[in-house]
Amino acid sequence: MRVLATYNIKGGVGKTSTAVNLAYLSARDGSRTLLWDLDPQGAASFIFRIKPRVKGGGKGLVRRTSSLEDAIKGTDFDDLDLLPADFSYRNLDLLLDAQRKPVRRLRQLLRPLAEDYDTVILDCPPGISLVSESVMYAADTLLIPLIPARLSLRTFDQLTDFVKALDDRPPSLAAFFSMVDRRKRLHRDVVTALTAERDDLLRTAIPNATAIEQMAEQRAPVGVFAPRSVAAACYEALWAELQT
Amino acid sequence: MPDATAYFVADDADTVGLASALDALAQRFSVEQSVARSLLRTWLDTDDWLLHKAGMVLEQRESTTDGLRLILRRAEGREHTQPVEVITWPARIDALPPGPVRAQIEGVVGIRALLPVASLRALRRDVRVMNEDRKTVVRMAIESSPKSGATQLPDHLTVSAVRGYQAQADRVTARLATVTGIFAVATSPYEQALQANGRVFGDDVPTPVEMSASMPARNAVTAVIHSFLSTVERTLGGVISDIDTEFLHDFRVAIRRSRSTLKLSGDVLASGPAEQLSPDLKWLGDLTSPTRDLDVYILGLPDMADGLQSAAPADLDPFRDYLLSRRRTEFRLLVRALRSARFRRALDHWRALGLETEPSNPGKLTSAGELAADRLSRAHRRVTKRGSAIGADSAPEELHDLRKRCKELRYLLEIFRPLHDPATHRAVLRDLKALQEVLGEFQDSEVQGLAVREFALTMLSTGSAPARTVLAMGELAAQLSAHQRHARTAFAGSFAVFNSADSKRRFREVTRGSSG
Repeated sequence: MRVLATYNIKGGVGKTSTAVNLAYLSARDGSRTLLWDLDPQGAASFIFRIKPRVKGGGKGLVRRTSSLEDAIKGTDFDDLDLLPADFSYRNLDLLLDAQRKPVRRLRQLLRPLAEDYDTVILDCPPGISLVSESVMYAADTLLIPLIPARLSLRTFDQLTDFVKALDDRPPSLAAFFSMVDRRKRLHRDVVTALTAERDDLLRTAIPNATAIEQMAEQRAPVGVFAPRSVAAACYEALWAELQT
Repeated sequence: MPDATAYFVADDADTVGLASALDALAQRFSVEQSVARSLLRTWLDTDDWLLHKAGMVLEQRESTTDGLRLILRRAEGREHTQPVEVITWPARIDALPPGPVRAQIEGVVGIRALLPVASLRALRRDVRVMNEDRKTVVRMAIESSPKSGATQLPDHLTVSAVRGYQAQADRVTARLATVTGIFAVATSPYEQALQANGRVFGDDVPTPVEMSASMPARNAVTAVIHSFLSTVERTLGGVISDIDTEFLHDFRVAIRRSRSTLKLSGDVLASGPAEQLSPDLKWLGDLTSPTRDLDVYILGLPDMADGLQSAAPADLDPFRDYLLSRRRTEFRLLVRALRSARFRRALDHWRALGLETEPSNPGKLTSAGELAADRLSRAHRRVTKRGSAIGADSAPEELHDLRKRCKELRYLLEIFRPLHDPATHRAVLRDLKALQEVLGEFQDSEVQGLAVREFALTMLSTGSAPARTVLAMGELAAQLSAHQRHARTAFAGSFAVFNSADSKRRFREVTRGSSG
């Protein structure tokens, strides 16, 4: 079972859009996929038309008084399931903190799913917290959407240093530009310059596209309602790049 | 991914049953249906139903819209789908392309081939039942078979909950239960198609022989030998078509067991037909040996290659090619013999056994119970006597002979199993099996070691063995010698358990049970 997680300290950078579209593509390719919507705002759950509610809430899952398997819902797509968000996830930090070895808890919770899923994608809330640290311990790869700006790169470098210092197997980092507005010269310049300059960035950039904004209206991944759009092609390219 | 499933079929007399079911649902739920598409559904399993035993259902679905797909449904309701190119069935697992379905089943089916067990042509409409967010919560499939199709099933409807929405599926099922013109059934379309194709799960196992301690010994022995004949007849097609190696294995085991039964208990039958059949069985045993032996080498080669220390597994490729070529030759001879008049005559002799009017041989053992007690005791004595005589310096032949006697005892125990208390029978069999495993390892290692040497010499003389292959084969022979030494060391311990007071007590209980 391969665990991917979308993460960035900042909000509104395209984490959920990435998680939703990559989960859809993973399942479409025949990989049994679970998307866990860890963000209490529940945007990924909303897109898949699943109520952001988990019986027993985050407390039940973390303390294992309710089963992770029972909370999973099937989406409308073959091979793609979702573990919905719950508003109680806003307190996930505190719940994890009450456990022994809190940063390893998420990985322990995921372990029994290995038989049922080939791919798990964690959609993380923004911020740096015990939840994000747990995600880093649980994930094999962190997917990091970056807004095209020098400051984003600085944050990414800080994250790289932080991940390297983890005392257990650190996840690999897959950073890519997101919400790229080709009409803005600054975006064009930053993407061109930094992609050439650095070898730790993926080649694919996700545009700031209407199709992506429409996901919340259509309540579906881009590939479903706009399969020929540039955005759909970019997610395909990102997914392909992650397989190499 | 579906959860629990419910099934409905349309009443034959009601041609609008399923349409009215949809109308009824549409009054309470948001329902959307696809256009109808034509499907060919073919269900697959191994000859011994390994997928069914593992709670799996494998289907090849060919449709005008989705092409060809393999769909695997696991016991807990999870489904895996894999698009495939045309596969010619029966097929072994390596004919399936890598993917989620193959990954799930390869450990289950192992060396067995997948065969079509039922098929159904259908016109299908998929129906989605949605909640207020237009999220699919229940999936339904409505299928009707064309009236000209080979397999005729009534129009049927399958209701599957999307994972996590069982309550909604229950509500849909409850609503459907009130619709006139359709009724709930417990069997899936797969089970219905199987039934329509004249198959039932577990039909690879012959009907158990009905035996009681008081029944005439002659009838019991006849029924046992006829049950082995039914296995031979059932597996014959699979052997000739070479579907997988286990058809020949089962075919051979049935012959060997018949031969043993005839040898150990055939004296209660009329002598004429039994004497006729005996050489036939020996001929069949000898006939099937070369191919089966080669199968054993070929199947065991990957494991042996993994155990090589200095040679690389690929060094054995020419050896494998040689074995495969030898097998093709031996298999051709086997098939020719199985299509011969001699084989047909042997089957006639087998079928005629026990049906003759000639009286049985006179003797004291008139009931199955008496016969079982007598023959089991004798066979057990032979094993304990010969086993006790084996010491550190005994020749390998003595262990080989003991192995044969153990096999005879095992066959007798299996034949007369219906007369025994199941728990005691299992315990006795466990003691014997442990001893047989050690003896098997000892003899198989020796025979295979000798064969590897002989193969190496033949390959050298025909110039088909490069030096690296001969060296690797030398390593194999050394591996087999080590196995044999290991088994020789383990023998004393296994025999001591078999010969212990506890084991003997259990055996006495079994024989007492036999005599009723």
